[in-house]
Amino acid sequence: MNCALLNTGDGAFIDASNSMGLGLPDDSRNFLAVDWDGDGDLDLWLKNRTAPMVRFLRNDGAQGQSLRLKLKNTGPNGAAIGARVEVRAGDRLLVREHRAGTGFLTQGSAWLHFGLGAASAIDSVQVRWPDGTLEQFKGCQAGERYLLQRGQADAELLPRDSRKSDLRPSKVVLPKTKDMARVALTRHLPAPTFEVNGFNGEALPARNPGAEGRPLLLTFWASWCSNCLGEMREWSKHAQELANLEVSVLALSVDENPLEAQAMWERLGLPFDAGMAPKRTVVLFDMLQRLAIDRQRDMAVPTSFLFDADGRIAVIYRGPVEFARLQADLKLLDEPALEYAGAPFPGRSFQSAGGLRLFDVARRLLDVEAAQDALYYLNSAEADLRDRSGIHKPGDQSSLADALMRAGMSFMQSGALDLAEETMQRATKWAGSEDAIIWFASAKLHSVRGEHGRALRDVEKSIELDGEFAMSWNMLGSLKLMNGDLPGCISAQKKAVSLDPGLASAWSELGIGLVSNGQPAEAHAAFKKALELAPDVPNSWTGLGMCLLQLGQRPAGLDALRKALELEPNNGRALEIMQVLGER
Amino acid sequence: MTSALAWMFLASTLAPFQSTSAIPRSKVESTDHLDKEIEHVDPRLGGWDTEVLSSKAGDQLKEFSESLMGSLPVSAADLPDWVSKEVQSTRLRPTELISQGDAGSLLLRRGTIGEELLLGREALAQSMEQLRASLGLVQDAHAKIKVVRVVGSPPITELLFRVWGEREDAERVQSDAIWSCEWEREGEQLVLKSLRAHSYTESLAAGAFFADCSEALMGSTEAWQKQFMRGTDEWCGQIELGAGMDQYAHCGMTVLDIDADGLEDIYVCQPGGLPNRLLRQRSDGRVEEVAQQYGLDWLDNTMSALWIDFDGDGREELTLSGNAGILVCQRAPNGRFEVVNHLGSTGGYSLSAVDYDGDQRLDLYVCKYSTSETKSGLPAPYHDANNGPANFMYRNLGELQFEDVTDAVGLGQNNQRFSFAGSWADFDEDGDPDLYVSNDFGRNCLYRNDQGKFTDVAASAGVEDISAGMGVSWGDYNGDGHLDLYVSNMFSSAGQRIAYQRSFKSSTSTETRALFQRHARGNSLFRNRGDGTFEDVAIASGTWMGRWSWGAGFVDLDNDGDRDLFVPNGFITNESTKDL
Repeated sequence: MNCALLNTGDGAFIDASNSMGLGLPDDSRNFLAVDWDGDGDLDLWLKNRTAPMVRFLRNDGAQGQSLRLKLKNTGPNGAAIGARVEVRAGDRLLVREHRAGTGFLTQGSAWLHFGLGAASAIDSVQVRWPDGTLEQFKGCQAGERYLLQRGQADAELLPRDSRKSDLRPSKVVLPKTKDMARVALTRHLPAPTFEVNGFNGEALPARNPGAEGRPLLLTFWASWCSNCLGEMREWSKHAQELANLEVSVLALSVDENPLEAQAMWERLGLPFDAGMAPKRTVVLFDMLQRLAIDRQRDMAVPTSFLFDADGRIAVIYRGPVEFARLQADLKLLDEPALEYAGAPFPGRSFQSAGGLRLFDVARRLLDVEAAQDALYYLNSAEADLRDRSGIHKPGDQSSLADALMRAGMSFMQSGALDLAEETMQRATKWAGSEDAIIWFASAKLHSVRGEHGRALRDVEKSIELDGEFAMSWNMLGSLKLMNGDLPGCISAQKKAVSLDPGLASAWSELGIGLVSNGQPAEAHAAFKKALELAPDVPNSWTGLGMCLLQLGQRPAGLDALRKALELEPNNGRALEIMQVLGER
Repeated sequence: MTSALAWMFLASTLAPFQSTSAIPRSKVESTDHLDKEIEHVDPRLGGWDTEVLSSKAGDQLKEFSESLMGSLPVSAADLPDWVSKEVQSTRLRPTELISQGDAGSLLLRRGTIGEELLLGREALAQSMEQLRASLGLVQDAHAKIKVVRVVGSPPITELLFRVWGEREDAERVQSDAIWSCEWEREGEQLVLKSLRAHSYTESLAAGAFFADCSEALMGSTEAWQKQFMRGTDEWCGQIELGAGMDQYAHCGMTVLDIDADGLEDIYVCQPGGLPNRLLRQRSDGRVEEVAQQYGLDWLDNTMSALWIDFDGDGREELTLSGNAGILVCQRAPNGRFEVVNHLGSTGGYSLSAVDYDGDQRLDLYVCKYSTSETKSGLPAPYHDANNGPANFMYRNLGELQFEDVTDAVGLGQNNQRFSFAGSWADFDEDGDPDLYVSNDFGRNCLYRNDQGKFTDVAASAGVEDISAGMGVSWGDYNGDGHLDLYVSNMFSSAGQRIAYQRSFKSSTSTETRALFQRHARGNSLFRNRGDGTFEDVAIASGTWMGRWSWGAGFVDLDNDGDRDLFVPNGFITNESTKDL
């Protein structure tokens, strides 16, 4: 709700938005104050993000008189941008500077407007021209408008605006919003091979539209969706013509129950390929339509994708695709890319509409854990970067490295360790001096694969690039511990906790190093700290138990070990000690 | 420096012992500017206890406000049962109101509510009845409650309370106050223990002060019927993103006189994929849409336009900023405008023309705002971001040629911000124009001009205004002849509440927390002391509350000679929330 703050002349303001009729439900960005109807008060133009995107609000309420001035300078700055005007009327001093470009993305009127309130006489009008020259103008009266020409000294009275606004106010009634859309992409978007299932859930051969040599219309539908069925009926009316067109059709159902989809499909009896859409395929196409059109909008059914013969997405349809539309769009596929092909109104363009950066597609797919599909785009982005490295933005290499790292991590988590390794290697290849994290991630992967030597090498590289991150020191310490290097472990973990005292794992491993090194008292403090931060970590309890036992506090030590076993009944170390102590 | 968040992401997914609660990946890794912003301002994601409280208090009070809008007298029996029997309350409307200013058809009143506390539901019902009866709403009645702060235990919610609507004779009334409500928890319910009202203001307008004539004025154009009548969100679903369509719709407007007929026209900038529109005024005040005729129907994403005669030939050029860079369009002999100079890269926002060096030629200043040049895609650090694109000062060399002099004239200082708007004024009255630049995510700049050389004096002048700066306006609000400064910022009641909680960003320093608090506080009115320094009088003057403000500006709405403020605002909000 916009705010009108009315100056009460005593240094304070009162909000009168709603009483003045300005409390509109718009999401507004900027406004212009213009005496549009020439009646001496300021009307408002309002620019909104929401509909209506523009409003005109006529000022019918202001009652005081005003003075309106337009300046004419000599020389190249004829509009006198930068001039300062001082009007004295009664006990008031009214100051304006004439500026071009103020507020937020706006440029206001060339007229300077001075409300006069109760004042009826103008005592003086002084202009300081942009070069500093002062000039007094004579002859200005309240309620009139004047042209002040430099060097003329007399204000030139302009005729009153005799127009009378006959605009009738009305409440703007907005149309129902449109949800369906056909969006033709100026630059066709490459798409990877995608998975397809049969109606019995079995995997069918994956589809690679680029290898099929002809256009493909892929539609997502559901048996419960009436728009989908309408679309199907339209298609079946034109089944023969469709079959004669140079296009393959694939209908993938997103039904939860494949039997319902199958029953419906059989009833429709359409001569096209059909099946179920696996989740991965839905995630992929949902993301592609978001990226191509509107990030905030989920993919609905029916949504269709028209691929060109090279397997790139050319048109996205939200809502049913009419046969005639498809026919027309298929013809368009052969034409060179049209600038702003999808723009709803004609217009000119300076720059062609940009395509999606394949790289951004990859990053978005990583966000939704679609690492395999992300890799398809990363491959292209990497090839692109290799071929034309000169024209890319600085930071692109790092960004590519970062995305490859995320893909690698994702593969690692899903257990595809070889693919993870290969991807991570590519990540480290593009990593720059600011990308310590990539070496850290690579070290993590090596340690998961049991390659401790390589892990150590990479974590050291990570620390060399950025010695301020506790996690790297923490990992270094763990690796040293595995190598039996207790002093190395202790000093690395100490560094880790000094950088981040909230890093529970570092406290815990510091404790392990210390207790193994025969320093139970110090270890005890470290485990306490670890448990304070993360009370549910069994190994910290085990370690605490070990310390307590070493310090001769057997009951407390046993309690701690029991706690560890409570959290993790198979905690090996705790079981071992309990057995040794005859407590089990 | 590697982003700390990225490290945390790895930590949470990989470290077996890590105790830090895992940060959902989509939040951390998201490059979507909007997601980030919502994450910063929507406290519900963080699971803040006070948010539950404030939301609940807001819901309960909504129930309460219904009776103020009704036509029936309020009695104690009507009060909800969550109003304690021992409730203590001040009056809700002062017994005496003082009229302010001389605004003619607009009556503005202010009064002080005493500290005196009355005991019991009966007394509160009487106060409510006094308020209800004085408002006398007969139709179109509304109320709005905005909880701005939750403090103490038992909790006190501070909130802005507004009720408005129409009385007999189409008179429109609006009443505003700040309420402090003290609560006690009883199970799931909050029980109201006390209610104190203060800062009471009221306004009354005879009939429609501003009349919406949009349809009458634009209704016959295709631009209105097919383009303006649909909002940005809807267009976002209809146009490819690559065309430069974006949901923020940071597009401006410019007053010009395209056909030099003495009637002003409006150029409307539009997001990419929608043509910019030129609304030419006819003598009857209605408009016709003529962008195509003038070759100004650009589909490129356009942020702002400047109607300025840069080459001094007496005819204005139209200069545009947007995704295509800075385009200087000059009128060709056939009347159409053609691009004669293409300056700079993309990311240009507000444009302004100024003769900064006194050579009589108008130069061009370009504010830039873009996250695409940052490695992470995010402003960092959030409360004082200094990884934005540089703004440009282009010196006019004549014949529509420009030279980048940003660094040479000293405007390279503090020039890595996210700048939405710049506005010129000779604030120190030494004859040359000075520049204030408002920056999102951090501190603003005041570049003092000393004969063509600039120094950023924002800190010493007291106008850094570390906040989410959007728009700038200069104007003498108190009639002392010195130009004061109004900066529109983000006000987020949610951000405001959260930032005051101790647990918020508890790992950060008090100083940083203070910056976060400031970040959500609202707009700033800086009074020019006349000695080169300013005093922030936003709170005292009642101008801080502009909600999520964008291009606010000084304007004399009622012709009384005092500069009022109009604050366009809003954000991409969800109707159901009580915030923003």
